[in-house]
Amino acid sequence: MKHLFLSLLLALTALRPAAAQTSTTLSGTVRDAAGHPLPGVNVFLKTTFDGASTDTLGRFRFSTRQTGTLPLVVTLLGFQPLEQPVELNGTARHLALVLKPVRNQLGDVVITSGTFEASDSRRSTVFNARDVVTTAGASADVAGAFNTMPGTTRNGEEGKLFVRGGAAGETRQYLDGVPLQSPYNATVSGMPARGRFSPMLFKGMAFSTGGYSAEYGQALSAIVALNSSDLVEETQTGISVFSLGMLSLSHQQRYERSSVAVTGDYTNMRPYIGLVSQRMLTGFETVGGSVAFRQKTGDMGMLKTYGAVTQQRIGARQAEAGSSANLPVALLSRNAYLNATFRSPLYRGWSVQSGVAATRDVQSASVTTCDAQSGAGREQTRRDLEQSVVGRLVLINDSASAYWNLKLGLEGLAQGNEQRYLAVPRDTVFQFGEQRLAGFAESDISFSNQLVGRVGGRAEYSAVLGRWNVAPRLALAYQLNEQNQLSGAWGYFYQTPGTDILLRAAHPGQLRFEQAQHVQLTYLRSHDNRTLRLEAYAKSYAQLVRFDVSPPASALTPYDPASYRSGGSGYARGVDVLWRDKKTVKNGDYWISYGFLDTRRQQHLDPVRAVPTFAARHNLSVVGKYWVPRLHTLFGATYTYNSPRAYHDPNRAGYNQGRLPSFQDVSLNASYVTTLWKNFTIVHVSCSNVLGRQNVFGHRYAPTPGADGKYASVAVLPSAPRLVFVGVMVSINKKRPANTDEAPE
Amino acid sequence: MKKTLLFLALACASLSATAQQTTPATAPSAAPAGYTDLMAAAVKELYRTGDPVQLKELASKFERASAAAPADWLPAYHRAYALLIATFQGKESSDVKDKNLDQAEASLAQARKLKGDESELLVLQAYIHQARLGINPMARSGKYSPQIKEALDQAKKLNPANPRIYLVQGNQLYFMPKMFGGGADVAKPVFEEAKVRFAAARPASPLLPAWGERQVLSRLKSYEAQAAK
Repeated sequence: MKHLFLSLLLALTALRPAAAQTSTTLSGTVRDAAGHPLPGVNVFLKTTFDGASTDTLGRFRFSTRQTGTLPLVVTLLGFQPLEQPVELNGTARHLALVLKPVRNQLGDVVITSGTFEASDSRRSTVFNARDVVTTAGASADVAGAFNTMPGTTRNGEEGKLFVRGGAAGETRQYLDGVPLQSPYNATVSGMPARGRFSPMLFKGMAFSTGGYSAEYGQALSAIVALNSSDLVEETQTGISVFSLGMLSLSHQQRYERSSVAVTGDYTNMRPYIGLVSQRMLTGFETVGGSVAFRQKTGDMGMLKTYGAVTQQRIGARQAEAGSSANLPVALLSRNAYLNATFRSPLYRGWSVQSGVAATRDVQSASVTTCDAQSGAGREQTRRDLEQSVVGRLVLINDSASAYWNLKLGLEGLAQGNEQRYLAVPRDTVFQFGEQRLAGFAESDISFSNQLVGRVGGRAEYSAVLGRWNVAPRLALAYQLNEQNQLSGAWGYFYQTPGTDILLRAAHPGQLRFEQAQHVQLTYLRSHDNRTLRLEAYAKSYAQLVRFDVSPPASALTPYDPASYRSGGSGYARGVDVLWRDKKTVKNGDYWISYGFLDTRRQQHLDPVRAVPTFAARHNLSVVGKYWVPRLHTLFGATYTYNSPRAYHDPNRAGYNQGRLPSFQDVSLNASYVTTLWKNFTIVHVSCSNVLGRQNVFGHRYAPTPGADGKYASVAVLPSAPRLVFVGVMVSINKKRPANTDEAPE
Repeated sequence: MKKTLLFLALACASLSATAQQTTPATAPSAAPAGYTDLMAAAVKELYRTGDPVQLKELASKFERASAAAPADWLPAYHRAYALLIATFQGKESSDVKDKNLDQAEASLAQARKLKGDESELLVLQAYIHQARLGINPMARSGKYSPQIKEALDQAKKLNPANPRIYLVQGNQLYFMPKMFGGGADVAKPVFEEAKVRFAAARPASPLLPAWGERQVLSRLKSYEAQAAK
C-alpha cells in the first residue's frame, strides 16, 4: 500500500518541470527613445506567467525558474512591442530596454481646422448637440446656436448663418450627407427665418467655417452637416405646449430592429400677438407633420427614411419708405421633404453610404399696394416653385491601409425653378432648370506620429452654366503634444449662382461658377475640459455675379437681364478665437467667442469694392450655463455684440458708407426639470433682449427721391423688442416611469 | 500510519493540482505549468484590492497570462475588469480615463473573440459603459444609458441567473436622478434580487468571474444604516 502511494507520488512529481530548482533574476529599466523612464511597462517571458510591471522610475525585477533561452516581451500602450531572447541560466541579468513609439494609426490625430463638431460620439467636442437647446438666445434653432461660434455675424433680420464675410446662401446644409435644398422655413422680408428641422432630430452636427472636405460642394463659405439619430431608444409619447401658441404631439415606437417616430404640430400665434404687441407680424399659423422610419439591416447596416410636410401662413405689415401706411403682406408656403439614406458595410473593408432626397417648395407672397390715383388697394402676388431631387453614393475604405483610407463619391441633382407674377391678362413667368453632377475623391493619410493630412478633390458639372469646375482641397494637422495641435487647410470652393440670379439672367450660359479660395491656420489647445482655439484665415472671391439696374427700372425686372456677368471679386480675412471652459465653475459651462473680420467685395449692384451690409468687423458672444442641482434647473445667459454694420445711404456721397448702431443683445433662459403626473417634464422659459435695446437691422429707401430731392427712408426693426417664450414638454414613457414612489418635487 | 496519512494527503494535493491543470474549461492544454494556480491567485488578489496601482499591475499580470495561454478568454476578461476598476478608483483626468477604458474594451473584444461566456461579457460591457457615463453624466447619459440597458437586457436573455446583471442594473438605477426614474428606492429591490442570485450562484472554478457580491452586500447594508438613522 505504502509503496503504491510512494510510486504514484514519484510518478506525479516526475511530470513537473525537472529544472524547477535553478532560478534566474531579471531586472533592468525601460525608457523611451528620449531616455525618459516608462512606468507601467509589462515585461515578461513569452509563454510563461513570469514577469513584472515597471515602477514609476521605469524599473522592473522578477525571477523565473525557467531555463534555456526564452523571448522576453516588453509591451506598453502607444509603443511598439519589443521582443528579445534572453538566456536563463541562473545568473542574474540586468537589461536596459528602449521602446519606440508606434506610428499613429488613422484617427489618433483629428484634423480640427475649420470645424466645430457637435456630436456626442467624439469625446473632445468643442460644441455639443445639447447646446443648441440650452443656449440662451438660440431659441432652440441650429443656426441660432452656431451663431454663437466665432466667424459668424448675427443678422437679426435674416436669422440665417453669415460666415466670414459670406452671404447666407454661401453656407450649405447637409442632412445625412445629402444637400438640403431649402434648409430654412419660409419667412417674410425683415423677419428672421428658423431652420426647418428641430435639433432633437440629430445625434450630431458639425459646423465648418472654412477649408472643409471635398465631400462638400456648392458652398463658398461654410457647411453645416446634420446627422440624424438612428433607432429611437424607447417607446414614448411627447406632448409640448408653447406660449407662442404651439401644440406639438409626438410618438415614437421602438421595435427590436426598427423604429417609427411620428410628429404633428400646430402653431397659431394670434393669442401671443394679442398679448405682446408686434410692429410687423399680424398672423402666424403653421401646420406640420413628419414620419421617420429606421430599420437595421444586417449587423451594421441602417436604412433611414424621413418625410415631412409643412404649411405656413404669415401675415405682416411692411413699413414703406416715405409713407406712413404699412403695406399688408401675406405669405402662404407649402413644403414637402422626403429623405432616404442607407449605410452598410460591404466587403473587404469597404462600406457604402447613399441617400436620395426630394423637395417641393411653393411660396405665394402677396403685397397689397395702394393705387396713388384711385386710392383703391391692389394686390400683387408672386408664386415661387422649386422642385428638386438630389442623390449621392459614397464608398469608403477605412482599412485600405493602417495609415491611409479612401473615400469616393458621386452626387447628382435635378432642379426646376419657376417664379410667376400673377397678373391679368397674362402672368409673367421666369424659370430655369438645372442638372448637376459631382464626383469627389479623398484620402486621410497618417505621415508620421504627429503629422496627418487629408488630400482630396472635387469636380462638378452644371448643365445650366454648361461648365465644369475642379476644386482641390488639402488639410494638414500637426500634433505638438497631447494637448496642442497646429493645423492648416487650403482649397478651392465653387458654387453655382443663386436661384434668384439664374431666374433673371438673360443668358445663364455666360455665367461662371462663383469661386472662393480659403487658406487658414488653426491652433487648438484642448485639455481637461478647457479649449482654446485660434484661427487665422484669408479668403479670396472671384467670378462673383454682377449686374446693373435696367433703365427704366420696373418692379418685375429691376435689373437689366442682359447685364449679368461673372466679373465680381472680393476678399475676407480675419481671426477667430474661441475659449470654452467646462471646468472652472462647478456645474457651469461658459464660452467666449470673438471674430475679427475685414472684408470687401464687389458683387451684384456694387459699383466698387465695399463692405457688404451683412458683415460686422467685431463679433463677440459670451455664453454661460449653470446647473443648480437643488432646483433641478439649468440657467443660461448669452451676450452678443456686433460692431456697426454698413448700409447704403443714397442721400450721401459714396457707397455703403452708412453705419448702423452696434447690435447688442442679452438673452436669458431657464429649463426646469420635473415630473408632471409622474411623467418626465421640462419647463422652459426664455427671453431675448431682456434689456430692451432698440436694435436696427438696416434702412429701406424709397426708389425715387421726394420733392426735396432726398430719398425717404424707413428703418428695418425687429417685429417686437423681445421674444418671450414659455414651453412645457412632457414625455410619457410607460416602461420607465419617472419615480412612482414620490409626489413630483 | 501517520506517515501513510501524510502521503495520502500529499498525493491528493498533487492529484487535484494535476486534475485542475488539465481541466479544459479553465486552462487550455497549451497553458504552461502552474497557470491555473497563478491565475487563481491573481483573480483572488483582483477581487480583494481597490488600489489603482495594484489593479494596473494585475492588468499587466493578466496580459502576461493571455500571452501564456492565448486560447483562454479569462485573462483577457479579468484584464478588462482590472482596468475598469482601476479607472473607477483612479483620479486621472477624463481623457486618460477614456483611454484606459479604450484598453479595457479592447481586452473585452479579445475575450469575445475567444468565445467567452457571452452573458458575462455583456455585463462587463455594460459596466464599462457605466464608467464612461460617469465621466460626464450630463453629456453622456443620452448615449450610454440606452446602451447599458440593451447590453443588460441581452445578458439577462442569455443567462438570467447571472447575478452581476442585477448589480450593474442596480447601480445604474441608484445613480440615476429620481426624475428619470432612478434613485435609491428604485434600485433597492434590484440589489436584493442580486443578493439572492449571488447566494444561488457558485462559480464552478476559482478562475471564473465572481466579482460583485461584496458590493451588493455593502450597498444593502447602507440602506439599513439609512433606515436606522
